[in-house]
Amino acid sequence: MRPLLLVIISLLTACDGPDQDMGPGRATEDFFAGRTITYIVATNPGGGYDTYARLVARYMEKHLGGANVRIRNVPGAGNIVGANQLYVSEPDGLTIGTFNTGLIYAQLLRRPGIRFDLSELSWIGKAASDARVLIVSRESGLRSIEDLLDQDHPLLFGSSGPGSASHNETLFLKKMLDLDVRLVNGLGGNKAQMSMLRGEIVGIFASYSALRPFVESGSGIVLLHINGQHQFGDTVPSAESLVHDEAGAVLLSLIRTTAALGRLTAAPPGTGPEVLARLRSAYAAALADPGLLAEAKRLRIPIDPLIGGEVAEMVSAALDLTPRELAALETVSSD
Amino acid sequence: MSDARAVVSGLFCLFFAGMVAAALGWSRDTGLAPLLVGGPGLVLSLLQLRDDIRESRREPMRIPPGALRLLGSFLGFVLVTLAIGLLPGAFVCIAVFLRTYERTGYGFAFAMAAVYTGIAWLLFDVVLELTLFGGMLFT
Amino acid sequence: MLDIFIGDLSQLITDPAHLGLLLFAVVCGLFFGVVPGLGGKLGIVIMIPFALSMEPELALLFLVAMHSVVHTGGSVPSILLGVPGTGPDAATAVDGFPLARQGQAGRALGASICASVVGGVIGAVFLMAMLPVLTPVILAFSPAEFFLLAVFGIVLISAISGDSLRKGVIVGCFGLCLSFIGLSPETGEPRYTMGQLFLWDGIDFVTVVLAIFAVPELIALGVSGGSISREQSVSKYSPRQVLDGMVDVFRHRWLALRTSLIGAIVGLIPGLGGDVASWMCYGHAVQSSRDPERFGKGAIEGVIAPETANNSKEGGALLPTLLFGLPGSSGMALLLGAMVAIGVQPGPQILVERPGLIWTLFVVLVLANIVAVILLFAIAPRLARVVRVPAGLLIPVVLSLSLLGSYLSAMNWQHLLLFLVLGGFGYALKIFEWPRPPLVIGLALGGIAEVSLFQALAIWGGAFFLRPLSLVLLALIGATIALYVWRRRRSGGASYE
Repeated sequence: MRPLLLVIISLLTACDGPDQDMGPGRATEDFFAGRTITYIVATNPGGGYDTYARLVARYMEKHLGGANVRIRNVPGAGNIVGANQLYVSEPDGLTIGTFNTGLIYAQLLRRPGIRFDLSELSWIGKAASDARVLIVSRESGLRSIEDLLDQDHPLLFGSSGPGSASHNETLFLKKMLDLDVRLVNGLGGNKAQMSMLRGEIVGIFASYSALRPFVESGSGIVLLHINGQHQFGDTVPSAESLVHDEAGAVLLSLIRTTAALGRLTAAPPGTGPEVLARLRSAYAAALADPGLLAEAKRLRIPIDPLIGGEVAEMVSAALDLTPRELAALETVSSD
Repeated sequence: MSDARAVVSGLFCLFFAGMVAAALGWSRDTGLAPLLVGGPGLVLSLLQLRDDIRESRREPMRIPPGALRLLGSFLGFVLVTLAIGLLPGAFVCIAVFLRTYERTGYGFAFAMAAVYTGIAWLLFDVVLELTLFGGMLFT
Repeated sequence: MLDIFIGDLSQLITDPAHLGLLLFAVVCGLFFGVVPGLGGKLGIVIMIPFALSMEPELALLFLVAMHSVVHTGGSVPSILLGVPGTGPDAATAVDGFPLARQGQAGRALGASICASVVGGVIGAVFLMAMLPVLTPVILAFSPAEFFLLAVFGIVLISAISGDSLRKGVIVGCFGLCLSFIGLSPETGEPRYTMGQLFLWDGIDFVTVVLAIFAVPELIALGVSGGSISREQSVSKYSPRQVLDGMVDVFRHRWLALRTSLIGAIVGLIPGLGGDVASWMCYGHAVQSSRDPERFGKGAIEGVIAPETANNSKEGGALLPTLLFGLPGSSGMALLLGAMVAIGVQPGPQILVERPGLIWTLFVVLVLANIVAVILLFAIAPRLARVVRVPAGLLIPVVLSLSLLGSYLSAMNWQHLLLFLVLGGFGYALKIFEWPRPPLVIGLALGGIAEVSLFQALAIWGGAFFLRPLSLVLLALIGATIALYVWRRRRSGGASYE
């Protein structure tokens, strides 16, 4: 009798039940062993988000005790398809995802097709941060932000396209500093730099990491930065020093948040707290792993992590605008 | 169909008309390119339609018999694939096609289907680790 | 410089591990080309994780070697089945497949193989030759020129397609309109998406190419029955035929040289898209031929021209990708991403930091093409037997592969339905004697045409085409139309449309 009872009890305790039951917190150290985690990347393979995801995935495997993290590229509609899919995935701890931080703007501006709410996601963390810089070409003759503000005719600036972060943020900057710029679209990637070299556009407002070689080669001059104290110190003015009104301050803080929250990773809403904690600690461990840091250095990609709750707070704060601020945002962005 | 020469130009006319109509309702920059292209496209298609109708009176063109049936079977295959996934769908389609078109035995049909599906599965799922469409009934 | 070259070359050749890697890369590249719909893009995508585990330089060499022979492999299904292995290979199918139907599959394969290596080598040489003058050349091409180049491409293909310019232009406009589906690049508003998110990025190019070329051939095959080759007298092993095809390339050596150069130049211009190169060279072959009516029915030049261009454009396209981070095509864009992922930062500093790299790439390009040719030559006659496979097996297998290719490219199931709809339409185009190539060109060039137009207008206003290079292109466009008209008049064509 006793052996039979033992067998029955061990069978019953071995049966964990369907995955959904993991939600309310039955995660154990063994939960991830032998399981496959799907890491949704909302872009095509080979780009920045994909690179970060693949790197982090490999080290998360190490720190999740035998799990297999498999990248799944779900491109489309400027990261919206992938983010949508992450949002509706089962919150069983076996799906996580990464997407462009610019989706914060997309959600605020209520782009059609969005079926997610970023404030509801179970945030795991972010891997990097970046400075935004306003760069002009050497040919333009401009050497300081005052030169730029002194111009009396409209200047052509580049943007990858409407809806992109650089597009939105350039329009924000225009409003913040009362700049007279016109955007020329279709200049994503390095095309803007070529256009600057040809003298067609004057400058661009975008992430520093992408433009660093251009600046270091001397072809581009940084006039202004946001979130770039680390790189520029006192040599380049920060936008903060030039923005004094309330509306401008809201825009500025939006840009600063987006710039600081680079390479976000999240799990679907409702992911159980214990599982989420495990994912967060594995993520943090991965980003602190000396092996990862060495590889990141070789690849020249910056690592500046922030984990869990803080990221969630920052995202919620960014999304928390009053109706008046939202209306103002929409006006600025539809220029 | 006894004469279908004008079908294509007719379809083009409808297509361009729809494009232009939709483009007229958009903002200037959004609709510029579709109008620049769709407008002339519509005009040319109408001209072609007129010529095709004239030609078809002289010399009718027909769709080969069996073509529509074959296209219908392709539609069936696509629907089956959508339902049960790319690899299972391929298995079913190859087996069915061999049976009905070539009238091979069941054994040969299933064997061929299995060979293809097996190789494809090994290659795409196992080696390359690509996620193939699993079918709407299963996702 | 030369010592670096010799040093790298000897290192590459004498190290069996490196050679083995090169061989493996070539095999992969050929494979990705041969299976319809996979294509070089997906190849790079799949191989990125594998490449990440190698040393950066080796990884780059691997990816470049693999990508440079994809189109060599892609010509195989184009010729044997009429199903393009990749987008650019569709041009090879136009004359290659009719040759297969006439029992000359081996000859077409031989010509294609030889043309590929000729083009590949010339493209590699072009890569080295253009290095010193690269910057001014790239800087010379502004949005105005891009727009006019796109217009030129469409006019050229419309003019050479079949008997009716009007039909060609209509189909070209259709292709352009298809390219407008998605988000407007200027305003971000959705166009023709009918509320469907999957259309926001537009219609998938590979799906369209597969649909309008593969499906009609499959239906035609199914209707006629039998097998692809109607000639039963084809002996089962004919390396002779393959050799004949290779000799054909030397018979048409000036054409091959010209199209290799055109291909390399088109590849050089970033943003135009490598898909266009093969079509433009096909167009050139038609225009420069004394009896253009043969094209579309099995003219060997129709195989030689696009195949040289397919391979030479790789050499040309590497230049802006490596040195400016400006990809010439979507495949190159992925390669660029892979480069960054493995730690090779594109930019002019590459010449300073890694001077040997360019030379090594040159060697790799040449070697990869040669190895690919040797491999294909060995199996070409056997491959040619595919044309004897009965329709009942061929049709469902090719259809399944095409669906696979479409899904892997588009990454959503809705495109499978689109594939079928477009396939049916493609069949209608085929039997009612409408040209299909302008559709492909319109779809490929529509995006850049629209974006460049807006850019040019924003920068210079309406007078943008008065720039010197633009005037040259306008003249080219005019000449193409004039040539078409003159030919029609000369051959006493019924009504010039």
